[in-house]
Amino acid sequence: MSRLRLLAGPDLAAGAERLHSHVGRLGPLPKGGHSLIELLVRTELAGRGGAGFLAGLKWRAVAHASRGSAVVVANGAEGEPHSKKDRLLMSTRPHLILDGALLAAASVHAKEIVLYIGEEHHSALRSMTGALAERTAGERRLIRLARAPARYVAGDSSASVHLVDAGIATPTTTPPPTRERGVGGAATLVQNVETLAHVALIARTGAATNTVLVTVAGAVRAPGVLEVDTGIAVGDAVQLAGGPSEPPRALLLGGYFGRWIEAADAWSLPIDPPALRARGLSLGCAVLGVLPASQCPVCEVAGIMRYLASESSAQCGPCFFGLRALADACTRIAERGTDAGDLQRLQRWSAEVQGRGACKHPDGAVMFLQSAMKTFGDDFAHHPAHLRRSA
Amino acid sequence: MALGGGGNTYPMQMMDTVQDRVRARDGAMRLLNRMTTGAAVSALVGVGVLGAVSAHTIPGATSTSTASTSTASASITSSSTSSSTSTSSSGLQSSTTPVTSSSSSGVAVSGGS
Amino acid sequence: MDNTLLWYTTRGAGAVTLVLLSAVVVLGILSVLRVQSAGWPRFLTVGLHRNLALMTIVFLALHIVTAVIDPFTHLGWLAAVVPFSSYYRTFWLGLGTVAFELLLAIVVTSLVRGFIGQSAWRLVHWLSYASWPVAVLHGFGTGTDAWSAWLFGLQAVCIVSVAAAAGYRLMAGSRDPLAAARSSFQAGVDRRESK
Repeated sequence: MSRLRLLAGPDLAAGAERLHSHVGRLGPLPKGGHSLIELLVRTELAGRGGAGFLAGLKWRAVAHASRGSAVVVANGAEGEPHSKKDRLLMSTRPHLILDGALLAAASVHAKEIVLYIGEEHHSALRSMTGALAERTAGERRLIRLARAPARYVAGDSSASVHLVDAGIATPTTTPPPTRERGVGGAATLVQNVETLAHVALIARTGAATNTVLVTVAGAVRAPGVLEVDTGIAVGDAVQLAGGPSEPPRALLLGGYFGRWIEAADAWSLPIDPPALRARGLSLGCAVLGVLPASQCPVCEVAGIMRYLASESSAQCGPCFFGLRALADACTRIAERGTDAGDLQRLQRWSAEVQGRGACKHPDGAVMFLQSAMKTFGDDFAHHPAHLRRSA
Repeated sequence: MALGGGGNTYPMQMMDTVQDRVRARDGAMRLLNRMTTGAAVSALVGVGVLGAVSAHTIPGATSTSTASTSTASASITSSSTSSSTSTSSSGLQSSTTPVTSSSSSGVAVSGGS
Repeated sequence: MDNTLLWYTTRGAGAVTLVLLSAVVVLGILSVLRVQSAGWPRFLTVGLHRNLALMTIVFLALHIVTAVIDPFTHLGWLAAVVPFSSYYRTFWLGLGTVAFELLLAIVVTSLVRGFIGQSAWRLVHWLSYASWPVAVLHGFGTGTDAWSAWLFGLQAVCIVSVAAAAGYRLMAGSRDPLAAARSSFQAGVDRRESK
């Protein structure tokens, strides 16, 4: 396993690493191509965008479908509110990402690279543009920038392709998949920026990387982004973030499309995608959200459901009306206290919505809610009314 | 909220709208279930009633009527236990072979249209 | 008497299937039109459409099975799946088989909509506009009773209902309660140069 870490090098507070420092540390850009794809397959690099799909297999599929006109989209939109890892990586190690994108373009025979960066993530935008200016003319010709609107679904890979292709960042219905027909009808590789950064290291060492970027959020003393060794326990990662700021109740693993786990069970979980999959879990976008015991889980879940409902792109009834129904029911429990029909309503509407959306947004929200109802079953069943003033 | 997406709690008037929406959805759900059950029962009863009406209008007790393309008719004997023949011009069976209760494709002439 | 019982059941079930199918088509049209009121939200139309569609398949199965196992018809299971393969009223019965298979395709694709995607589902669903008239023709051509007053009356009601709903759709276009929310969201994420 390689010893290289994504965030090694100059102090992160110094901002974007310059090209000479990057090349000085790591050596010049290696060659991409078929052998790199095979290397990625062998090292089993998993995507860091949330789905965890094996990068090598995706590259292989795009290379196969490419007719020399493929497109690479480096997805740094980071629509998940609490996630900060992609922004940090772009702001401090932009050349790793550019390297990875160029290697991808060479390997899948792409003629264009698009850097998809959140329009409000100014530091990331500045850093990536600055880094681009340092590259060779040939490299600069291939790469352009696209700004992602600041909406949750804008970070979805089909939304990124839709924005780059047609100028509107709404998710699209899947068949055919974007790896076969994406931007301008060409095979398109959409890859998270952290994944591309890992590729830049793997291509240089010929070995797998063994670190993961996680964002620790919620009731911890020093929330923020950490680069941790694969396999480290969640509890250790939380300690690295200063430890809980008050007694913890549960962990939300993977952001708003993730799963709730009781703190006692969560702390021993390994931060390792295959190991988590074996437990029926997923690292997702690698946000570790710590919920303190002092916070009401039902109220938290209701708030997140309201957010997810408001982020629906209104392209299909099940999502727009269904998530609103679920958010309403959760809010009712949160505000007025549980009554007999509420839990049935949640079950019923969840079943109505699941699998019926035009994209994956409603499914993500429903699975988040179902996980909450499982982990916080008692809280949902016996929630008292809170006397609240509107915030 | 620690992890919440920034959604505020609803102000009181909006809460009433939420209540109304929830109640309306519940009512509609109940209506759906009742209508589905009603339709199922009606359909079952319908098969019986319409079957009986059809029995009354074109009963199977007697044999043929002359077949024509617009008047639908089938010649069916009333016996069900033994093989029997029927006499029909554009019927289901040939007039020479006995009826067999099997799912063979039969030897009769093709029905007219 | 057994045979005639099967025969009466086939006819009764056939009539009921036609009524159910017509109701399904009307509800389908109404749900596209997004017809709704305070006491009747849209999901009710859609839910009823779905439930009755499944019910139609059940009664259609009854109609087909009783027709095939009826020893007098000599139809054979083949006639139920291969159109125009029966010797009895080949054309009109064949239409029934066609309508059945179109309906089956519609229901199955609806059940696996998650797997095949929205566009493929919608494409197959348009076949409903073919399956209903084919079923009606089958009823007229094969049915023992097509010109009996009771069935003729039922068929007339079904035809008028579907025609009225289809006519309304042609005229009314498609009012979409999502339209406002969708265009407002899209306006927010639209980054096209020429705006």
